[in-house]
Amino acid sequence: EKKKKMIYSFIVVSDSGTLKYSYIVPVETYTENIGDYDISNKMIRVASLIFGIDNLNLSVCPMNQSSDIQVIHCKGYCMQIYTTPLQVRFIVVASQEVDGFLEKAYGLYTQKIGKNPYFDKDQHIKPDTNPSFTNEIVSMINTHNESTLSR
Amino acid sequence: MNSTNQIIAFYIYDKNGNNMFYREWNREKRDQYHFKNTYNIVSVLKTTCPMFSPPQKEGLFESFVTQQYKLHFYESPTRYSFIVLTGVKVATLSQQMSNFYREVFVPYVIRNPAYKFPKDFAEPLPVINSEKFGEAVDSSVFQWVNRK
Repeated sequence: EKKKKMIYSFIVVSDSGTLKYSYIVPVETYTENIGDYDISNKMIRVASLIFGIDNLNLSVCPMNQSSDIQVIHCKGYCMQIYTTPLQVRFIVVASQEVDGFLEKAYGLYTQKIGKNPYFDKDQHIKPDTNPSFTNEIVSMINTHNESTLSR
Repeated sequence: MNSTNQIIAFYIYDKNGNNMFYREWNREKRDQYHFKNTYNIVSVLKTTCPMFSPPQKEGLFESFVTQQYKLHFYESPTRYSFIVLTGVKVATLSQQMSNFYREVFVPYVIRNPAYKFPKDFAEPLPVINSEKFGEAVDSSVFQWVNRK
């Protein structure tokens, strides 16, 4: 049986390690019964965790040229991280590695948030203030999850 | 040797984060705090990763990848930590490290009467100096990166 690639959540972390945006896929949309999955309070910890371990990574790296952590593999899920040149991090938690999703999310962020002259750099991204970004992200995740479920 | 498939370093820590064994092969850079920070990065990930796991999945931390290297992690039931740094193309080593713990570490270290455990549990375990253990590590890790 083919393993389904399911996105569970998406997070944007600022360059200073604060949580800018998070979206957790509602449990009722999953076909598999995974029980109660409410990690909304823990998203803040993800943001500071990723920021902290990237600093430790600079010391641990055994090669002369260092780079940021891109994928964290765990039993049952993986966390992919895309770090932009300005140190904003896009993170997706999924059942397997998802190709190209974070790059598209970054492109969307640049268009809808980065080029928005009214958006303050330290502002949190919310559906009521930035619907063009948040609606598009939710739509991208739903499209991805539906397309993998139908296979 | 192709750098994406190479073995770089191997660490073993006791349950308190004291380094018991270290070996390197193709390391280019060595930070003065790399012993401490390697254990720290892994202990942060192993405690935090299960929090974000969907409830019916274990979520135990296994490895992470950067553009330059991959870090593999295994913790034994008795909380010895095994950390391997390799090239990015090396596949996950969870099963191999579990076998290593059972077939090499336990017989050569735990069951070795020449390896003296301190009387006080809070004291750090001594560094492993056994040549035979070092040779066993060398042959094991090279098998891991060269397996097809």
